[in-house]
Amino acid sequence: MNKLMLVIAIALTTMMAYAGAETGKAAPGFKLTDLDGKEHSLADFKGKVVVLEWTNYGCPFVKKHYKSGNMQMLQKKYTDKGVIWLTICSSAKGKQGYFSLDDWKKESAKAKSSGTAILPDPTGVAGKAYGATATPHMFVIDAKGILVYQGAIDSNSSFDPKTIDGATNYVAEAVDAVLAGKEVKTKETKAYGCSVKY
Amino acid sequence: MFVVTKVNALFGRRILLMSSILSAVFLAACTPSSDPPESKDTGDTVDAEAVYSEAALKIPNPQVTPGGTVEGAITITLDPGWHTYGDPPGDSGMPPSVAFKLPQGWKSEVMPLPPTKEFPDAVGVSYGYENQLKISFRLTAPPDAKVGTTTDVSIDLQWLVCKEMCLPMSETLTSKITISQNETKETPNE
Repeated sequence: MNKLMLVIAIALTTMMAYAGAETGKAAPGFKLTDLDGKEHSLADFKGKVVVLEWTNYGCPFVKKHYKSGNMQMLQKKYTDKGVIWLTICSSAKGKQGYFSLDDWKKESAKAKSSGTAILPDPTGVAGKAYGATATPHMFVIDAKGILVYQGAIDSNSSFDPKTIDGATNYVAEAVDAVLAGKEVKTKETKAYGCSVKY
Repeated sequence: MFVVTKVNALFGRRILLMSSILSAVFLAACTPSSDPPESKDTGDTVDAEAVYSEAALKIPNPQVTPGGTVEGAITITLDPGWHTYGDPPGDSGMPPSVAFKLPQGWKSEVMPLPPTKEFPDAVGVSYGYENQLKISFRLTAPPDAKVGTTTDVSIDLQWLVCKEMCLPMSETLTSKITISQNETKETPNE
């Protein structure tokens, strides 16, 4: 009986996790405060392409993309083109990957994070709205506020930085397509990485 | 130049050609000991400098006839509370990556991994192993292997260990195999 309950609980948790955001529909709104105390709402960015990046600096899969410089390269490349890049961390207070604001400032400077803003989400409200399960977990929203991509950053689920070359970067593909006014080819993939520490 | 047959359990088999120097550099770049301070900064109780998992390579009878096969196993041991991942890993994690470095003509085959245990967490379920994981493999010598010579076997192993937080593990395991004239008598079921 207990086992059955556990199975149901697991199934429900999994369903809830994936109930998040639906590709092709309006992206869920959220309001989060950045490291300088400035509030950001998704609605503020209407008319712009938005990338959401779920992060956890202690996660080997996140390190793969930061230590190689791949994530910062993408952040810079696309913010230079007018894309809004929001880096979100849903680690709850006391959980692995959580930082105080001071530590966030230090760590993000050290990581040379180059997006628009870093948004801690310790209550997990944004993470759960999108169904973010992994770090990194990526979402691309078009200028009309429609979610056009969700899933992995690229096609190779290894933590080894040498696998970045040769992998297909789904985020770059999606953003390039949206900026060119084209249809996104790969709309959904399974995110890989560490679990989000809600 | 070695032929590197990368057996990535998740994405099937692929063959990469690369110089051993290049892979050595990459390996150095992703050895866990090269980045302990960052892991430590995350406010976790885990000491990233400590080793929570180890890997060993064993080829019990390291002899093979030309064209013959020899079996071996990699054993990953884990400290209590830590787990590594199966294939598929589930909602998070990564299956072990086993890349053989063998001279031209040799073939390698990794056997299916043993049944996994479920590890549920806040976002879903992962599949993996506690305490120990044995990865069995089989190597086939080329038919023209020279009797009396020895062959170096090198395996680049990458595996992920997690206990609330995750640590990347990377190790190169080595052994030697002798090419012998006769079928090995020690193997009863050959």
